[in-house]
Amino acid sequence: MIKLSNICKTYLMGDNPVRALDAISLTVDKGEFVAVQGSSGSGKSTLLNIMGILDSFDSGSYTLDDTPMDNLTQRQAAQYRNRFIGFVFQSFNLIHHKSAVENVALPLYYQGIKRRKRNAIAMEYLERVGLAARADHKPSELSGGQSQRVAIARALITQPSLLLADEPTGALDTQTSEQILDLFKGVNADGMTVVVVTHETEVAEQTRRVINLRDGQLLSDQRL
Amino acid sequence: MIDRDAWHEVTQALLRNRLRTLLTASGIFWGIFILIVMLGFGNGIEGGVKKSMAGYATNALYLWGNETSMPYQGLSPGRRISLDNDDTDAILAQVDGVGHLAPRVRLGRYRSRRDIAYGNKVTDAEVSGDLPGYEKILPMAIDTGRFLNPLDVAQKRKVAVIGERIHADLFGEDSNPIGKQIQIRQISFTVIGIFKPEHYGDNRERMSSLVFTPLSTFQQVFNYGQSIGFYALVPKPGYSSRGVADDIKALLQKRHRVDPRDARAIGDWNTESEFIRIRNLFTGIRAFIWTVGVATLLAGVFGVSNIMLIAIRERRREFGLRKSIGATPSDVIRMIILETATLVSGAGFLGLFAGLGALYAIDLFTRPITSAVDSDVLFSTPTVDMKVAIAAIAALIIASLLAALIPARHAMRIDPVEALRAE
Repeated sequence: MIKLSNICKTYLMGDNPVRALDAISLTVDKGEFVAVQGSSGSGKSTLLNIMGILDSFDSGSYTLDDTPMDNLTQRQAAQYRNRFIGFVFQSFNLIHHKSAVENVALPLYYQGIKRRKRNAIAMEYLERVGLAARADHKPSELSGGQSQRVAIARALITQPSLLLADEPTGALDTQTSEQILDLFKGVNADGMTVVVVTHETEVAEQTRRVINLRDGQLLSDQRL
Repeated sequence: MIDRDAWHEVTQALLRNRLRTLLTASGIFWGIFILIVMLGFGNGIEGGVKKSMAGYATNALYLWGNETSMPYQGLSPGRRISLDNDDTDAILAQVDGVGHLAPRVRLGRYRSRRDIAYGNKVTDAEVSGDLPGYEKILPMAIDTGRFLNPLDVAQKRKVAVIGERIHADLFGEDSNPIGKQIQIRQISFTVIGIFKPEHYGDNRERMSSLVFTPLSTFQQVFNYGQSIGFYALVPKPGYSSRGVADDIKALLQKRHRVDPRDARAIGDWNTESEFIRIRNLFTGIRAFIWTVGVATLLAGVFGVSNIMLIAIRERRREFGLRKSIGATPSDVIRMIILETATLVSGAGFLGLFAGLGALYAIDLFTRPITSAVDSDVLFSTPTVDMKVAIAAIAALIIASLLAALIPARHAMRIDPVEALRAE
């Protein structure tokens, strides 16, 4: 599913080059549920962004679903993200002026699916995360947990093969975090590959493989 | 490329911040509104001035004899040049480009002597001796009777064509004076026609006080001999008044032994220069209006571009997210351009219609004043050429699309990683 080999990434912090990833090689198989851990600045978010084709890398190679992901045009990258990858962020990133159902349907807009149809599909996914009743609410009228569930529905609507989550429970209380993790477990049980970046050990413990990063290098990789 | 879904996205984005959208749009709205109203006013004033000039041939030329100012061939300066019928024959025989020549003699001046009478009624008039065809130089309408004809001149008939004011003063407006005898300085003339001048305002009254008699009759009965007071003429099509005037002046200078360098001896005036001057004035006014209008519009366009930049900065996160879930660069550019174009064209057309509405209202209030026959107000119906208006809006939309390119590039370059980073 994911095959990273010798990925290096350096970026400039002011005038100082910072090595975010230092020759990372990693394979994630289809259907795995992986947690990436590490202190801040360990490179875990960079790794996730590279997996999500949001960020470029300096050297090494990345294949996703047997397709090489280097030297993509912006347009190709956007299309791969749309079809293969679902993102869940710590701060939800819902569009304020759109209702819940419109937010969920947005990825399908970029696939050219008509509004009526995509909103119908979006309703199914909202139902799946238990928020069908709040479909017409704006994000400002939703609680944190509800917002994250809308964001997850949005990530799932394109039926991606890979779900990437960056601190998905970082802004939520313990009880809501549980609900979110349950959703992840559910989609993983259905066969979707899930990679979660987290610094919370309780979250990492519920996955089936924990990768530890430090200073851009792989510190440990253990299956639970 | 632009489907209903795209419109939905655009209207949602624009309605998100209604006040700002309204304020941004108002820049464009005012620009177009001011341009339309100013163009309408410009056309209104131009129309008013043109109306006040109605009744004058636009290329008429006048020549007359003055006193010489230079000695020549042993003749001293200060000699009076008087023109006569032989000059007329010479001009017609030797000068090219004369369309219609009117040798004229006049009795008295406007509102000077009460020269004309019918029964016990007396009034003032400007009596002239003319040839048939003068109506081509001074356009007029003859509703009753006729103008002078060649037989009147050949037989030295004592006939007169009178203006509508003379008609009203001597006969009353309702009676038919054709065939009646009027007295011009105690000499009887038969009225053969009444004319209405095509002038508006002040000039109308003066022009309707004219009385035309045959040149030959006039010269004889008023003891003018062969004298001609002055020439009025229009050049043939394709000849300029200026050129024909110079040719005639050269001929008259030769015939009357005037130094060719003597600019004063033969006087001339032509309406063509006047019309050109007025036309240039309006070209200038129009250029000024467009300059102000375009500058106002440009300010509006810059405003839009600026606001779009700010809006994009505010919506960084939104654009970052859209990119992360699959918006391609062209999706993003299309979205920005469509938003800008919608804003600008919406505001532009509203401004256009508001401007046209304002002009309509102005016309409604000013029409009773400006459309009266004797009105002196130099203003007529303010109008705007729709083609010009639509072209202005099209240009505006293109300008805003160019202005949208900078914000669009900004949006395209938003790095989703940075935009989406949690605060």
